[in-house]
Amino acid sequence: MTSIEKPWNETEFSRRLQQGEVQFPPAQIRLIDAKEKGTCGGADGVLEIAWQGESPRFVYEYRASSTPKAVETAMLQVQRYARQLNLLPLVITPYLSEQALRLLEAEEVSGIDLSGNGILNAPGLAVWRSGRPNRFKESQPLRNVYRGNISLLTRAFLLQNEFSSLAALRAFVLQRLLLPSGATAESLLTKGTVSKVVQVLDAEKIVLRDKESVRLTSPQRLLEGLRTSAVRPRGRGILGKTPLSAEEVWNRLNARGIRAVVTGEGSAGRYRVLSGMDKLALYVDHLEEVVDLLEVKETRVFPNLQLIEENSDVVYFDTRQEGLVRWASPIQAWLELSLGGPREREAAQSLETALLEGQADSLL
Amino acid sequence: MNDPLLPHLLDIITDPASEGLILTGGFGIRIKQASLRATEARTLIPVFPEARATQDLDFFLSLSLFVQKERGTAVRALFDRLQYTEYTPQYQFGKPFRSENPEPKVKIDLLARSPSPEEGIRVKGPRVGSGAGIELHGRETPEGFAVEERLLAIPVSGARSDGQEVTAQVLVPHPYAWINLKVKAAHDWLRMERGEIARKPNSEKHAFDVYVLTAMLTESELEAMEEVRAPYWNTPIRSEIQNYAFDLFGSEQSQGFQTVVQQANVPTDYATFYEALRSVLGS
Repeated sequence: MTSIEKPWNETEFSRRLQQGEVQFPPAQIRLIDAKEKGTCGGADGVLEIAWQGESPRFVYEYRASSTPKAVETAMLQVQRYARQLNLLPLVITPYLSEQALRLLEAEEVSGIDLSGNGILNAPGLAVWRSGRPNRFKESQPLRNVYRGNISLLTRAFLLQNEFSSLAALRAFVLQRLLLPSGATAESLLTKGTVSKVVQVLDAEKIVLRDKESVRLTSPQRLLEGLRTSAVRPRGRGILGKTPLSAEEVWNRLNARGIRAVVTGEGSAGRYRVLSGMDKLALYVDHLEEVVDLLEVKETRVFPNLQLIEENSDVVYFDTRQEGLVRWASPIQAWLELSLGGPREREAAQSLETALLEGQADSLL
Repeated sequence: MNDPLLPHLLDIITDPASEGLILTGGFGIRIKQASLRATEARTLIPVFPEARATQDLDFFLSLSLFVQKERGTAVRALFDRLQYTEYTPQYQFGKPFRSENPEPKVKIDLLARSPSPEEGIRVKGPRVGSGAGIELHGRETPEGFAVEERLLAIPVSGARSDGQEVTAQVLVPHPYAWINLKVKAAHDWLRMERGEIARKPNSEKHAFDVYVLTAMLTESELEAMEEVRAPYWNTPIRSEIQNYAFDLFGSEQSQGFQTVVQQANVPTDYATFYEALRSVLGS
């Protein structure tokens, strides 16, 4: 098994390149010129890649980060040096994903990574190699901006694609969050956290941050990030029967001030993407209290109520109140349907279109 | 529904003489399954296994056929008219699926519940209705004690064997009666497996049928269960069958449930099945 390393900084990379430790077998890489010598016009260096009798020369730019933004910046920079020096452009990073390789291919820029993937474009030389795992673990300012409470900041961009400031983004999230009875939002999502989330999204080229604002530029990739990080709620749950009507269920929950919302999948019918569910499925934050309140008897035989205890704030974000009923956010509905079977995934497509078009608020 | 047995069923049930015949067995399950799918009814387990194929038409005879003898005679005349021959005198009949080919054969099995003494119907050996003079008997089936309760009429459409497209209704038992019948048959299979009684081929199908029938329960059928069961609560056969169900399906690893898993073409749901089965039989 390959061990996970910390990405090499520029100095480390340069040293290893000079010692012949950077390779892309069976091609042979030989350093010709380096920035330190000052003869390659500000570029990181020039190297030669020999394979099958050809040995084209490349001007290269190395980035210690493999984020889409880092790859794109390096690519633009090396294209400029390549024109100045009349050499072929080459990007080197710790890891190049399929997506990054496709971008480089489209721009006719070569790229190799330190994990064994790469694309080489030169007269008489065409190599594409992908699928090797990332050997390097980048230190991220945050673990995952698509999961947990910090994902609320990410989700906010699907509801409003531009914010004038980080403070405006935070205020938007808190204003759409249903808090437990008596709780305050003061300590939630600090300024530092908001800044880190935006930094990650910016590096992923999902949002663009400038002096004026922070705005969504790639909703598709944001949805992809949410989908790939999504997990089914893991809270305790109960399937059972209540003798109460749906109206009485909501009356009692609201009167007691209990935080409750229909699950995303259960809300699909309200968003007209799936026919109605045969039971009411709710997220609640105090399971035992709700079981007693709603007189629930546990059974798997024709249950009319499912309760899932969920104490994180995610499912209570952007809920939609309609009369007594509180429906899940269309984002939550889309995510849960995306994790379901073929019928649910098909329904998720309709919601996805609305989210991509910025129509989330017009759904309900 | 496309099944080679369907035209032969339609031949029988489009004739008014068939009133008093209650379809059970594997083909009855297939008919009910097709109807539930067509009406998109909500069932206990939404994805239930495909019922097994069969060549048999198993009918319970309503005991009224032995009392109103002209009706019983009409049923026998119907079988004769449809060119069924007796395989076992008066309660097993058959004929080729197609006249030009002697094999395979459609088989009709006639069964009857045990009459109460007040009903005054004679039982001799396994034959219910012996001496009634209608030339039909039902093989006595004590576990069919509730088979005439709350019958369900299921519409069936298709071509009869003469090619005519028809729609008719077939009577099937209430799931309470049906599940009792199948639990008893499945328990006989278990006893065969344990070497307590002689083996009969394909008997493991009965445990599978218990699962399928339970999975296909609708909410209204289940709600009515207590009422259907009440008149029989104190009968020994009912409580015996209740115990058989525990013996067969008492845990997910039980022999009964494991044979279901082996035969099912879809994932099974033990917890829901067993909770509902207990609710059907009373616990």
